[in-house]
Amino acid sequence: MRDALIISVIFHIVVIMSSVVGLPMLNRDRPTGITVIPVEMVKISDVTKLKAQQKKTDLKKKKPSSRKKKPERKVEMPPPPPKLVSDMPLPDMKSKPALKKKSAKKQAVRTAANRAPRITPKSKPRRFNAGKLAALLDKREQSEPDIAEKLKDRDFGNEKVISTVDIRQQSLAIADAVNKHIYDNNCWNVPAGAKGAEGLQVTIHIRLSPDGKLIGAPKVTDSRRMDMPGQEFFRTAAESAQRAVLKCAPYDFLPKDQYDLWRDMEIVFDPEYMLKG
Amino acid sequence: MELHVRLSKFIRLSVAAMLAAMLSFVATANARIVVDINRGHADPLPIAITNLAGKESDIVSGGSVSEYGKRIAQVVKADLTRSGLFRMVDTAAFIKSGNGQVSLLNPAFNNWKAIGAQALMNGSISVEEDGRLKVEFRLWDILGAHQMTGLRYFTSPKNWRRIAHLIADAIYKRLTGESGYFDTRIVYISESGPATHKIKRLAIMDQDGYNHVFLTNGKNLVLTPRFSPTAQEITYLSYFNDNPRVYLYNIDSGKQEILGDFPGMTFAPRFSPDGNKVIMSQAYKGNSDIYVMELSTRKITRLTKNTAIDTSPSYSPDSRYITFNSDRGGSQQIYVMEANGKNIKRISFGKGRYGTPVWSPRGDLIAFTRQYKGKFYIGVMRPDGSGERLLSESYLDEGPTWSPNGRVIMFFRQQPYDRKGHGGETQLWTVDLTGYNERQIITPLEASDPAWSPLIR
Amino acid sequence: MLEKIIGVKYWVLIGTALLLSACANTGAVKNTPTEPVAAQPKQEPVVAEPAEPVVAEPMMEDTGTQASLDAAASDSLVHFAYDRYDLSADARAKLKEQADWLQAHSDVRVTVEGHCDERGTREYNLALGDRRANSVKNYLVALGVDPARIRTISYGKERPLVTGTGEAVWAQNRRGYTRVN
Repeated sequence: MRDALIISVIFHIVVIMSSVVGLPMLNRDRPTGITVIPVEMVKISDVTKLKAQQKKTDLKKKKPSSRKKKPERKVEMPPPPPKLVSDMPLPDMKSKPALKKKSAKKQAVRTAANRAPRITPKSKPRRFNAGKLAALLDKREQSEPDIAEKLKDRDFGNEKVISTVDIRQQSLAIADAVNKHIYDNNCWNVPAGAKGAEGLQVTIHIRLSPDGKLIGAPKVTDSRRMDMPGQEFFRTAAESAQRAVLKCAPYDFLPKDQYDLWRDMEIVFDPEYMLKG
Repeated sequence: MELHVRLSKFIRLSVAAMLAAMLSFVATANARIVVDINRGHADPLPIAITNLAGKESDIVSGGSVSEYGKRIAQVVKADLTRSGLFRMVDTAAFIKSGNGQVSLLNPAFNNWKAIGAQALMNGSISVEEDGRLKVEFRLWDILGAHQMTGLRYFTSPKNWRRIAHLIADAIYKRLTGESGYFDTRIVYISESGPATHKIKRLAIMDQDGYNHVFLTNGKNLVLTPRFSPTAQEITYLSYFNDNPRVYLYNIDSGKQEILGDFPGMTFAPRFSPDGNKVIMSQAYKGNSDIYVMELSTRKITRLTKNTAIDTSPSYSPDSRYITFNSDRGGSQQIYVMEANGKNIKRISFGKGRYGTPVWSPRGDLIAFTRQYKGKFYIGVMRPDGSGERLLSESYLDEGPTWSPNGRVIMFFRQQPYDRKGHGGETQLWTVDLTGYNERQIITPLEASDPAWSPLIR
Repeated sequence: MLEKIIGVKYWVLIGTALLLSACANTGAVKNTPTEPVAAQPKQEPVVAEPAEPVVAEPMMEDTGTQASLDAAASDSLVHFAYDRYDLSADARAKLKEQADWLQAHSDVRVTVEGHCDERGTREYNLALGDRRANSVKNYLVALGVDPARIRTISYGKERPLVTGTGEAVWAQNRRGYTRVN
């Protein structure tokens, strides 16, 4: 009950904020192709593992044609897992009046799904991979077999629209792969013992060629701070981050078909956890 | 998986986080991927140190210039290795094969990268007309392919060790962001003879054990020397004339003087951070309290007045607080008070006894000796008593002293005796704040009560 | 003679070292081994005169000696519990013996040494040794010994009586010892 109340309050605030800030784009496209994705929080590593599995098994998949316009489909919404709500941003403006406490969850899910097309990358439509989803669902089967079963039965394979969630999962999988690559290859040597480790988070901006090579030097976004007097620890942290990125290049293990997602990346190195230990 | 933990926490959602996430999602729907990395390795940085290039034919006292170039490189390597933060990449064969450098000013970065070096030091050495050595070094970032720092020194050949330490300090500072501690000295108590009648002498040496000199001849029992902030004076306890009192020793002049005219034993001396005062304990009629003496006026102020044992005082680097140990609560524990003796607060609450608190030069930690269940530990805690971490453990570890950059702690360790009563040797050890990288400092005889000098200017 | 020459050389060396250190401003360690003294004493090389052959003569027994006190009062020792300075009944009985002996030898002055085992930090043990020595002194004074005759000194853990590991060893080292001056 309390959770519901909190969630409801949050959404009210969000909706009000949204209207104040103004999100005209939301009105532009009518929601098409509502794809319901079970947004059970999947461990990033699961996604990554999944990807590995797929490579072996999932080669026959045909590239779906990229029809932009899709007839609206009504999809019965499976009861969303409670956690799901928080992961679903942006209620539709239109639904604002309807937003009530009790319907908050459902509303959120639907609206979030509604806006999915908007964030479809402009470049090329992304393939929706039902097999992958199914595999993900397989994992859930143990805990919630019926939901998984239901979803499996649905013909997602014909969906051509990439959902937010899908992109997020792909992005997270890429982020996870980079994270793992840098860790496993021992690329980041954390500057030890620096005082005030809290402020030593370093963001490195990298650009990659399609074959995963670095284009230009890795850039510290706050590079001015590196040369400031009294910021020696930051400079050390920043240089350790740059070295890590350089040492771990090339990043040729990233999925080629998702180049748009990883051509430009930010890598945030935060030594706090290491230095606190 | 860190990221997952983050996300699921995120899902538990606070209003603010949620709002922020949503709005930013709108704004950056097509934004680039952000990879969060908070796990790394704490491995030593692979660095290549090449011999400083010099002519075989130029001879100065003590050998050829080329020979000095090798010696200096050796000492730089030894310093950096001992810090535990660097790993030496073997260079000898590599340089010989010609892979290493096109020229001193143009290292073959890719070749160095191929053998795993992430930093490179090279340089040259030559002799000036006046007989001084000219020593140059450059530090290169191999992966980034650029020079990070470079310095030039002139000195007489007999100072070559100091030059090596200065170079090591410069490299350490450039690569870690904090000051080095290699151009420093240790004053300590050299011990010899049977444990029941130990001969103890004041001795001083470089931080790496070289340039060792005895300052006293061992006739009198001496204990607990400590450096002044200028490293020019030492305060210590001597049993001269069977009268244990705190003395001051001037390293330049060799002059010694007793500090104050106390009726009781004075002991546990330590300089204030500005060097103008010495804080110490006096034991009088069975009670030990803390006093401070203004060195210029010799004015003495009593800071604690208590029937308990109050001793081992140490100032915070800003001079505003003093930490000490006391058994006023029933057993030996660590306390912090204001420099005027007010507002005494106990900060150690773990099991066992806590003693010899020493404030770090950075101010963020207090090092101490802890006794618990028959073992002794060196540990650190924050000045409010939180965040206690034990760094070393043995039969008897005692007496921590901080490197001037607050990263390394030196202490002494006594081995247990065997059944026949043999053994019990004491030696100096260092451990860094991570608790790893424990190393023994080699001394000519047994050693105890080390005190680390500040950086020598 | 040889010793004298060595002695002279030694002083010349020190003098030179001092001179050198006065000019040098880097690196060189500028120290000479000396002992702390309030005012630098002029040390002179001691040249031993050829000793006369010693002739032993019987004499009256000197009863004011350490050996005498040791014999009269359990080796002039009392022992303490770990981190304690209070006197056990046993210790008080031994101190009664010491006090009696001191009353009988009223011209003798003593120094009470306070000692600790090695299971404590050095500075804390110096303070604890001082407590123990004063514990002994106070009890002797309570038994009628003139306080002016008793000096105290703490050796902390610097002078163990026996070496070894374990409570039996440590217990022997936690002691007060009355030394005849």
